[in-house]
Amino acid sequence: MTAVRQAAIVGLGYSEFSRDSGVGPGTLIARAAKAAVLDSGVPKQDIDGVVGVYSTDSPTLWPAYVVDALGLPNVTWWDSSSPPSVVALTAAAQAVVAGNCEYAICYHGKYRWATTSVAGRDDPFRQPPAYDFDADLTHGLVEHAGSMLWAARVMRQHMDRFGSTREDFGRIAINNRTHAVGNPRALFRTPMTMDDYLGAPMIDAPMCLLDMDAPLDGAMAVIVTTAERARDLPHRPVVIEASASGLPCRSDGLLWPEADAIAARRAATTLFSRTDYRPTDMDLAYPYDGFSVLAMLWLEALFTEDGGGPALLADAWSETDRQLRLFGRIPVCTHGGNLSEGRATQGFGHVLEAVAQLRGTAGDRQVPGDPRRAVITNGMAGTNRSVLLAAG
Amino acid sequence: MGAPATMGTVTYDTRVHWEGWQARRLLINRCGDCGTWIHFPRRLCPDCWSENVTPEPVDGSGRLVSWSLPRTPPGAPPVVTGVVALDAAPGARILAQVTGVDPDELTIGMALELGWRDEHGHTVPEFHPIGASS
Repeated sequence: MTAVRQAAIVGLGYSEFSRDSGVGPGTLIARAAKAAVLDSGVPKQDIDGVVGVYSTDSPTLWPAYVVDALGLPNVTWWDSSSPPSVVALTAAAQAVVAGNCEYAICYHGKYRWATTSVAGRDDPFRQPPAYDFDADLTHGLVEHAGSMLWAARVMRQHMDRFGSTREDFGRIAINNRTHAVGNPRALFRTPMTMDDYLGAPMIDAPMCLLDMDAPLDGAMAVIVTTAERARDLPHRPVVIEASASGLPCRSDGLLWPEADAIAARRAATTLFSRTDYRPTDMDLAYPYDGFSVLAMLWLEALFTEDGGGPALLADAWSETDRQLRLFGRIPVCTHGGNLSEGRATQGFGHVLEAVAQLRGTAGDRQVPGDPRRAVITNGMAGTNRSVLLAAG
Repeated sequence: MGAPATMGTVTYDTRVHWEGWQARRLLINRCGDCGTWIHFPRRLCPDCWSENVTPEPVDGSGRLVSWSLPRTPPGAPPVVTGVVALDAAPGARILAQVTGVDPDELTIGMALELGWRDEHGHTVPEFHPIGASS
């Protein structure tokens, strides 16, 4: 089931990832975008679209800023999205498929603002521009509405319903850390054992420190064009084969901890209804892991029934290698995921790693056997988008 | 009228509910046409799209849907962040702290009843096991 025109990813770029970059967020975005353009081989003057994630905690990163920062002379299309980052990727893909632009920069960045990190709070150079951080709190009358508390309640509900244990979630964290050892960008690269995981401090029980990503400065960008144009560029193109979201009627995860599993199931089912491939045809899997419980729900939605995650992971687990291979074959989060790279990536690291693997430029992390297809899920109940990427 | 920072923003759509809390009354929106209970507060019924929606007082018995136990400073009492399904308003849930119980004794589905406490000069709902004081 191939669309008449498809979009392809033809360039990758990163800024440095660090906990104290010493530069502003715009500089990080500009560095990532510049690197992606150079990697793609597309001349600067041919870039005619800029699409980015514009979120409440990255408030200076309008597409127009990037146009200015890189001096792009011929931009005639722009778009922006809320997180997660794959929403911006599909917006860029739709723009080139529709003919609104030919070569789009798509970027995502995060920054340790005063509102997202304790150290950031005390840094006079990290005070964010004014905005209403509580803008969506028509929940209004809630207390402790933070995402950490929501995710912990989702995890507890999963443990209660299905008998899942901390060890089950630990396998996700350990797998990702094992891969991160080979990823120079990753914030956390020290190998991790199950004892390390089980001994980590509880931050919001049942969620421990190693179940959540950490704030970070960093930016990433990709270049998107049509599959047809991509053939004339240096790298092997990676095509966006299908994309989908699933928003449940009650997508408010604060009050409906079960909404995330419903959303993931709807998104995964829809994604694979838009392609001839099946989930087991994937060579690589990148479940979103801002919290380990989300990766559990995404893996269940993609590969098994609700509550089947622990058995799936137990079957996939190698104690010797301390990593997962689904069905004995499919590696998971070969870059280490958000849990290792940090929250700067917010799921976009999944995209860049999958593209690098599918075009064969992942270096020391390259998965052998010429992987051809990868599934990437991004986000949670009210805010998710997933894509299936295929080597062109 | 302003709410403390941790409470989020009181808006035109939530003001009456907030004022209800200050009088220790739990108000939940209900559709006058199809009977659907609606929370968080919205003016349009998501089922039948009627705007004949009014806040109704409900008694606060409920069941624990899920909860978390965030880290607190050494020596501070535990804080349990709960989602509570309201018996008197089927389909409606609210977020509130669960008090008056050792966190080890909490079970998903356990029966709870409404209480109130004063915090930062405002009155907010909380829940505790039946018969326990908050």
